[in-house]
Amino acid sequence: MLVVLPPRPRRAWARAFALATGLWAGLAAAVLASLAAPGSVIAALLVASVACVVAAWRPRVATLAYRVWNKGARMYARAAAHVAVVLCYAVVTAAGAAGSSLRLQRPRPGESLWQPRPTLPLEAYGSQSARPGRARHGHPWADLVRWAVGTRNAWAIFLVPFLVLIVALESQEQDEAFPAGIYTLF
Amino acid sequence: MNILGISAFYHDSAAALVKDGEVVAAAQEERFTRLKGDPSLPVRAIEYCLREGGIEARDVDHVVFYEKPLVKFERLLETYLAYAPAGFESFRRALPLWTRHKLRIPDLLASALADESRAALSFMTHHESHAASAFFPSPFEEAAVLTLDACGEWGTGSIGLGQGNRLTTLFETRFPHSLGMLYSAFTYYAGFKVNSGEYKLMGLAPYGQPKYRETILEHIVDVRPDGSLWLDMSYFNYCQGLTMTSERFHHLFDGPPRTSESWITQKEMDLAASIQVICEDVVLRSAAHAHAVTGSRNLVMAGGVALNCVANGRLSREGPFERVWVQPAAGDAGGALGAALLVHHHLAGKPRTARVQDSQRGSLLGPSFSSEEIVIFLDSIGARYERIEDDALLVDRVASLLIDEKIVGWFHGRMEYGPRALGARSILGDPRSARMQQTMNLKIKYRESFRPFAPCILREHVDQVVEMREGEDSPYMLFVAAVRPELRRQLTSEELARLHDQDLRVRVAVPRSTIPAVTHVDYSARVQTVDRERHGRFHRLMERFYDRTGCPVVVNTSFNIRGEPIVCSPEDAYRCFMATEMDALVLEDCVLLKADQPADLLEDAEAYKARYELD
Repeated sequence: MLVVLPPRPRRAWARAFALATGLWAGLAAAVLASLAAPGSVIAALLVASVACVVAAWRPRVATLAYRVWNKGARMYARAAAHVAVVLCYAVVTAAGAAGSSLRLQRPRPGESLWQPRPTLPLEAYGSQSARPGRARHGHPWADLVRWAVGTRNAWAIFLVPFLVLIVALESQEQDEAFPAGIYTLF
Repeated sequence: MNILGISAFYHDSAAALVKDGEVVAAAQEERFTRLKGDPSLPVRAIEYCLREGGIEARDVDHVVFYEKPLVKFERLLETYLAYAPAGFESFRRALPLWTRHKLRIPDLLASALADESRAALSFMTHHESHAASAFFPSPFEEAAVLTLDACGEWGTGSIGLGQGNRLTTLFETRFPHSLGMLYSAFTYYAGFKVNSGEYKLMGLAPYGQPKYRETILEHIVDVRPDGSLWLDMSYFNYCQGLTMTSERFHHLFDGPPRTSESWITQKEMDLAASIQVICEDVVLRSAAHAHAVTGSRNLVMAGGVALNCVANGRLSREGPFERVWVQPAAGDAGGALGAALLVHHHLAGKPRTARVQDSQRGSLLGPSFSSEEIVIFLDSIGARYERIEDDALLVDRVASLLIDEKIVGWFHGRMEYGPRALGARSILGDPRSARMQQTMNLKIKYRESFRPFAPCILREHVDQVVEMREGEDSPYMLFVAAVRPELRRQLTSEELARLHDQDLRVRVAVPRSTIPAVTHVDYSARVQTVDRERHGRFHRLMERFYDRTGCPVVVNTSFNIRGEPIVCSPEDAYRCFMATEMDALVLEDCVLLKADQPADLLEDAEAYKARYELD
């Protein structure tokens, strides 16, 4: 589920959006109205329904509402994603205090840096990691958790909620462009 | 059994189709999308492979990705663990790529096949994919396998042994200690683009002296006798930053990295020479180690470092191996092919028979277009052309154009797989012309290059042109050899003075041999041999040129301008032809002269150049 909606809405999407937001707004107004004065519930629902119908029959209004929502959602998503990444890196920093398997110190004189390495076993061909297993469609987080548990990277499970959040905050525009031209080891 | 190999999401993504053990098709995505080094999921390359194989997505039995995403993710996390809290900026940029693409590869592959496929899915390791791409198509029943690149998951190099249909990994070197990274760091510092400018650094090396060799070995890299190496990471920034080198590196070499497109100074030339010497030394030592542990007489290589044809040339000449074969798509694109072949031979257990001339088919594995298709296209746009269906007449006509010092775009047969144009999507010229190098660079490639072009040499005459053995094969332009002494020119005092000019274009323009367009300042040449079996009409063209001139060489450069992927379709070729000062274009049987083309079809050169980011 994405917070930021597709950037260039088709008319039907804008109408659906207007109807949905109108109904939700009407429902919320009705609930609030019922708390204040029970008699005004019907009036609130009526006003919300009219707003929905107008939005549905006036595509320009619906599209405008859609765009306003998306602009706000994009700003919110960007800020929230940044916070999620910061929190994610806080987890990494905390885990980093325990050390890393990256070997940075100079090896002893005469020591070779060619390390023995076994050939990948056939049972591991189906897995996204070097362990035996099979990757499945539609389960990226399950695969990640299985890998974390199975490879002494259990701390990485704490990243998963943030990763899920980051995915929810992505927009389709970001998805279209694969950044190139910057040096990465990603 | 149909196996689809895929490499993607780093740089230069590609797809390859292996059908019952035969490499049916392979292509890089950039050729279709027209985005140089396109790293995205190779949807169009996959479509092409399926079309070429005459199959639908549902007919694919096995899809295989060229590396293990979660092992790479582990390396990434371990790197941040080592450097945190530094590295946030890199982490911030990396994470969305992982959440969007790299952690969802099974889903993305399924969507690329329109969810029609019920194919099994596999993930190879990066260096085993490279190793397989080197060994399985090679002409050897048994060979030592050496892969060297920047990095895969953890591995930065590997040594293995190929025997029949089995590939055994023996050793690896691990991140961050990497020859590829070291070379890329100097590429970056010299002002060239990482992942594409390494060949420019290699081409710059002959202008310099290896003055910095000792400094580099003393401070930055510790090279062991077996070719393994350790890098002092305080000189680098690639683990935690978005640049290759650190302030300490800049301090060591007295200044910041050269700005792209600025004047190249003697310092950059000397740095290039220094790192090139070290690179060659590491490759030779690693190969010697591979020889010692495998005892094989043959060596196969892949990985980005295997595109360093100067090092390959030394390896071929100096041993210890009797024969060396290098995968022409040695970079990550080749991983798609290697991964598919691994599934075929290892998982499916299918036997392998090494072919005398290798199984790479000249690396001509991309799309082709019939003359009929081309005629329909040319007619549709109103281009003027002459169709010459008689092959002998056609090659004679093109040979005449070359003899008249015309620059000819040559589009014939299947497109090349890998970074080099090998006579299917090439721009050709007469190597004897003293002005050819400069003309091709400025008017066609739109660059002011300090590098000469590559010579295509008839294989039957290769020993008469360069210092190679009679009939020696180098069909993939992956070995450098010296131009024979008898072809070298005695330079005049004025020419000798020009060799010290600050402007490298002046230096490279000094004719060093009777084939100046393809002779570097150190008399070296990046050789492609052309033979009857692999190259068909291109070989006949060169034979005809030889019959009429006595010269068994033509200039070959890739059919593109700077920053543009090599042309794929007749449309791409025609557009490039009309945007440059190319004199003629040969699209299969159709010969087009620039002078005959309608003025309204001319492309605006500036607009054309603006489409492509400089590499």
